[in-house]
This record gives sequence, C-alpha cells and structure tokens, in this order.
Amino acid sequence: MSEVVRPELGSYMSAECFRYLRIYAEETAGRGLIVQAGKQRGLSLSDALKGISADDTAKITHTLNSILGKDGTRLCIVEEVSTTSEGYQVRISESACSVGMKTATPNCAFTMGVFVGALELISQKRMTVVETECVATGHSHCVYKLDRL
Amino acid sequence: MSATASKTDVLNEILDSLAISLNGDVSGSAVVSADGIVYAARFAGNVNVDRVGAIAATTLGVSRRVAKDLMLGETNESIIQCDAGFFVIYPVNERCLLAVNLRKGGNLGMVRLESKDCAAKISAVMS
Repeated sequence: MSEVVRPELGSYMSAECFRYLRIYAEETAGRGLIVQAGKQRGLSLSDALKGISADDTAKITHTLNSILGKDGTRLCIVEEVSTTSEGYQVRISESACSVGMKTATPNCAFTMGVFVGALELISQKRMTVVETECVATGHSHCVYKLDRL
Repeated sequence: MSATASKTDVLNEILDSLAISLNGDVSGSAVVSADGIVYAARFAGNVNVDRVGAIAATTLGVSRRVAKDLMLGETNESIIQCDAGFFVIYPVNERCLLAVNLRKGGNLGMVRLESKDCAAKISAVMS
C-alpha cells in the first residue's frame, strides 16, 4: 500500500474510529473479513521479518513490538512471543481491538490476524489460531495460540 | 490416511475425492476456518487462495447475518451463480466451511449431495 501522507494529522487515527469500522463490519459479515485483513497486514511485514529464525522468539518479539508497539503503528504492545509444541503463543496488551470493550467471547479479530500473517511468514507454515484470553473478556492480557496445521 | 499425514494432507485427499466424485464439474475447492484461514485448497495456481478464504468466510458471514435478521433459521448453503459457473459455500460446523467452485453446466444437485458427505468427513478431521 502507498505511504500515508497527512500533513496536519499524521499517520494515526483514534482507536475509537477503528473500533466502529471493525465492529460494524464484523457484525455484518463475520470475523473472517477482519481476521484476513489483519493477516494481510502481517504478511506485509515480509521485508522487516526477513531472515528471522522461526525459533528466535526474543528477536520475533522485539521486531514485532518495534513495528506494532509504542514506537511503531501502536496496534498493541507485544509482550511475548513464545514457542509451544504445536507452534507459537503470543501475549499482548493494549490491543486496539479490545480497548475499552466488554464482550462475552474473545474479540481481537484484526490484531490476531496480524500475528497469523507475520508468524506464517517467519515459520513458512500455515497456522490455525484461537484467542485463549482477551482483555475484553476480563483477562489482563490478550493471548493467541497459533498451531501449525 | 497414513500415520504421518498432516491434517492438511487429509483435507486435500477429501477435496480430491470430492472432485473425482463430481466427474470434473469442480474447478476448485477449499476448507476454510470461520476466520477465513485456509486449511486446504485445490485451486489453479493463479488463484489467490487466501483471498478465496476471506471471500468464502465473508460470504457465509453475510448469509448468516441475512438469515438471522430476516428470521430465516440456519444457513445451510450460500450460492453465487455467475456466467461461467457457481461458487457454493457449505458450513461444516461452527468453526469451518467448505467452498466449492463449480464449472458452468455442473450438476448442482450432485454437488449438494457430495458436499454433505464431504463436510461430514471434514468435520471428523477438524474435531
């Protein structure tokens, strides 16, 4: 995608506006559209993730946090990416998807999709994903479990 | 199914069986999660399967929304009829779906029958 150029407002918009876009699209068309939009964002990071070993979770965490966190696009703070016997577990905080929300089920469709795309790039494996904890359902962090197919 | 076959391998075998049983009417098929993630796909190389997954999940999502808002009950299938064929989506269970691309003139009735069997097999693999 082309570079975001806004002379006065810069690159950022409110998470509140993002939330309306996300929730209404999701209510109308289901989660698939939003998760896949997130995945495309994750896949767009191929240059930044090039050469990172699938087992180097410290570097994966650091790199993704630099892109998505406070010094990046501020989608979320990437607290930890760790390996599991089946793939990866991702723990984040301050996700733009779940900020200020209370829901019955986990809610991070877009953010979760970003990690699916990024970790598929790094591992070169297709992944299934489930959000096991979410701030919107009362947890302290959002946690995604990604398993290799 | 061999002891070392991955779920993707098994799903691909199921999709191959579906294509064989429909005598060439199927030009592509995929098993997709409700989140649009492609678990297995049999499409020509020039087709973006990630895009197909997103479209299939979104189409089924919209169909379910229509069914809910208009109080039409459960969505059993979603069909897009085009000049050159059909794109048909069947919910397998709450977590995944089967998408089938049918050539023009293909036997939609047979696809319905075979896809029901196919969906049961997929559900068993993905349970």
